[in-house]
Amino acid sequence: MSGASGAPLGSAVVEEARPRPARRRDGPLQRFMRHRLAVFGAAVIALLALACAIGPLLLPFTDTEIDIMQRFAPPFSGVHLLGTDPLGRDILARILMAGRISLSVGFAAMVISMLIGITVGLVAGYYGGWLGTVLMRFVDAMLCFPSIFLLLAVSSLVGPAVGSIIVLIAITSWMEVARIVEAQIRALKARDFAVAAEALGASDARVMLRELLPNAIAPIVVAATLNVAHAILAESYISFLGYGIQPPTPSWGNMLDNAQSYLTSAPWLAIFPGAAITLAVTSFNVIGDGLRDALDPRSGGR
Amino acid sequence: MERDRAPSTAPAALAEDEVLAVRDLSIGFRTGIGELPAVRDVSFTLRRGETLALVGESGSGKSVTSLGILRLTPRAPFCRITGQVLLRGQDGRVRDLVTLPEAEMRDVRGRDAAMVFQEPMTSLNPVHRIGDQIAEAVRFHEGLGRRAALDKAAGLLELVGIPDPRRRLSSYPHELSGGMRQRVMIAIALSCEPQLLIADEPTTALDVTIQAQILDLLRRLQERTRMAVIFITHNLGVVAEIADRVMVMYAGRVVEQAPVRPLFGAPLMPYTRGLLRSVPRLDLAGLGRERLAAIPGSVPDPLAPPPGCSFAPRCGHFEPGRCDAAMPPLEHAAPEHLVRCVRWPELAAGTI
Amino acid sequence: MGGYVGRRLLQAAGLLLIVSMIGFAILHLAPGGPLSQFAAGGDMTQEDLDRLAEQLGLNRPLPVQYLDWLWRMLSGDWGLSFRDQQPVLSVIGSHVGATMELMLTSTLLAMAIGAWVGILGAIRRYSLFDALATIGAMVALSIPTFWFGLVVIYVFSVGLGWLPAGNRYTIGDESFLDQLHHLVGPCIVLALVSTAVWSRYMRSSMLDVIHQDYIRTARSKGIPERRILIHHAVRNALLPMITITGLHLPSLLSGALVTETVFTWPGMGRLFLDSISYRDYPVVMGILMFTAVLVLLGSLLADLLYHVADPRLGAHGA
Repeated sequence: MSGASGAPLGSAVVEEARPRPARRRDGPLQRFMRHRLAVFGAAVIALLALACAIGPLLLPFTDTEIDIMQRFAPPFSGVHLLGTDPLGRDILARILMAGRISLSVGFAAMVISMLIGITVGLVAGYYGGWLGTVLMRFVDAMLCFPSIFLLLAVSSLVGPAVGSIIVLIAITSWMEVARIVEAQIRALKARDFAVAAEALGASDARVMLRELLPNAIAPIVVAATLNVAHAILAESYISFLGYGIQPPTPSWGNMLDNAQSYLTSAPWLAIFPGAAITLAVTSFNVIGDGLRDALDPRSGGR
Repeated sequence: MERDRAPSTAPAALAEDEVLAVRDLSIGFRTGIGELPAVRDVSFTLRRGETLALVGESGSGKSVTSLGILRLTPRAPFCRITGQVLLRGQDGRVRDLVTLPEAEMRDVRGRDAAMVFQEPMTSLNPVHRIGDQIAEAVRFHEGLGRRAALDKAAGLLELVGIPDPRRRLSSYPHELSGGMRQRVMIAIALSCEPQLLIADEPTTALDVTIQAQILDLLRRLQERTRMAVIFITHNLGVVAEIADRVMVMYAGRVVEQAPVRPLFGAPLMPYTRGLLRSVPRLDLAGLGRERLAAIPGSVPDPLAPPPGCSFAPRCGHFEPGRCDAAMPPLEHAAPEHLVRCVRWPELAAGTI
Repeated sequence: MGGYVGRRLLQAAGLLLIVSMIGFAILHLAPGGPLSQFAAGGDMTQEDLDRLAEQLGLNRPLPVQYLDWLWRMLSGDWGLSFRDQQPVLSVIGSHVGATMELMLTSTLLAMAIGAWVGILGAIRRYSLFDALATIGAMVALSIPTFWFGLVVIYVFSVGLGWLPAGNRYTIGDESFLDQLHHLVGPCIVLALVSTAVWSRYMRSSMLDVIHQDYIRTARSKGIPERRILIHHAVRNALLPMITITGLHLPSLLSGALVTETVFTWPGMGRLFLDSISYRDYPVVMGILMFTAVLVLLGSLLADLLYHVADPRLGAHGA
């Protein structure tokens, strides 16, 4: 309706008075709350984290306690709420302890991968040029390796330990973050305030960390949330395949490691840990989705 | 589309030479905070070969009116159309487009009435050849085969002044300039020889020289086909050049309607006067730098309209007690001159 | 067009070089480098190891070793499998077909369902169907593939007995129908994530398209709504899906590995895992490089296809 060219109604042409949904005036929090799924996801994560933190203290069993008389106890039938495994260990206790491991691994891997991704993205976006090109081509090359293949190959070489699993997941999942940050920084750098800060003689590090990074925080927060989901999934994959967290330390993935052999006789061995992974990963994914809508009004419900 | 009123029993109420009669057309959009009236009580008629210019600021409802006539506004629950839109089709039959079933409406679009839009750059489908895009309407409305339809498309391209039409059939839209694309849009609109052409700011996005060419083309085609044209624009220079009659809209309502000469010569509604004053006049260009008068303020919020006349808050002739009392009626100032303003007699007499 | 293809090929070649460097670095990452598997065995003295290193040229400077390794990779000499002394490339070659079969069929399935769900979600935006599809896609993206595989086996093989629980065919019966029967389970499992990806992107692509001016033009021409949808909207909305499918390739390969493990499907993923447990590093490294090159070529192909499919991007002159 509004035209920019031609001989218009002169200055009588006013801004388009098209109706806008009233929600435009809301802040990020309101928009986030409106995304009820995301709030639901956040509640699930809070609950899950709480259960994993204090649940094991309240249960009469520990995750390693072997009750040889109660092997393969089915769920909802006796003292073992979710049944027991082939050694007679309580599934619920193991799921909660495994949750501590899996959630911590997911979170720690996210933190490290964000650190790598943000650093690479900042440096590449800020300095650009030759250095930026090399860094971003390296990101492209890393993305060519399917993550599970890379994870398995490297973890089989360096050997499994919780610490190295975390680092491995991190170094195979920082690339998307680097791309996001690089694009943001490159766009922001062209804007006035970075130029102004530079002109005032601020150091490169200061401009990057104090002027540029805070302005790119929204997509970083979204990426971080989705990264936790990715890391939990990655841990479960390699643990399931036997190259992740090693027994007796329980993780949601390794609890499923030999569940397939008991699929006919004891399906609950497979059902509960898998449901826990799905629940946690879905929750982080919907939180990320909700955050994206809340922090970026342009994406408007897409 | 809603059937608010019973289908008119005698839709044939069109005079012999009339193509279109719009009566009490109102269009409302459903939003989260209630229905938003975009167009209210618009009435006008259009004779064969006549050009009506619809003028107003952005948000005045002129584009919505034109989309509403062909029911190209969003579907039923999101948009409510009431009133009557009587159109004489190619077959001579008169239909009320407001109550017409969707399937029959589809036959009307493109065949009896066609549209040309503002943005030639985005109005053509980027992945289809322009020949196929022109031929598409012909194939559906006239049942021609692909070859015959493409032959006709080539003829149409020639008609709208595109050189080497045969070869151009297989071009993609991105290979043409803006002016050429608008010619293609016009070829599509004219492909089934419609009785009514609605042109929604067809020249706004084009360079001034191209604008003149397109206007010239439209005028020639109209002389040839005797179709009626609704020309939507906010460019009053274009209006003077092409229109027989002018309808000025403000905040969803018609505020003044008259033949071109009286409207330009003796506008009665203060809003129309404001519009005319804000146009740079070529004939005065040499006489020094006269400042263009802008109309202060902006279009009212359609959900919270001011009391009385919608234009009152911006009007230089605002009179408390009269202008903000009630919405002024649309009155005859002359047999062909309608105006919505309580003070028009004083304005006409020149006493204010 | 020609210029673009040349540029894009050059880019891919550059990327391939970096990919190869990463591969080489991983090879030398393990403690003891490429010899770690011998050292781990414990039945070799340090002297033996040194001699072996000498033989294999491992005491040369790294750049020289890299160039030598790269040259052998490029000339098709990917080494011998420790396990059966077969050339690595031919070992991979004998497994790649099964993986391709799985990836191709599941991608077709995912396209068919995902596109349909996405289109319907877009034209009935905010409907119950749309809401369910959105939530469904979200969950599908979050379910661990191996667990979904277990569920499918539990329900359709253990419970209903409709599908075989694994393998590519019944031994002794290698008919087409038998193979198809074995393909159903893993195909569905691998298709889950891709279907979710397709439905999400197709929906947003359709939403972009149906608000475009040219859809309004099509409606003003009075052609049937169905034709507008398919001929004008879907045709345009599918264009970006070419890119999406290319980008999804690494995650599809990862999914294939897990699916093959669960369904004992004799593909590349399964071979990869077996080779890891046998410490058959030439094969492990070979598959790693092979998948990376596959992804690289896949995205190259997607870019080229996009250029062919979108008339605005050159292939059609002007």
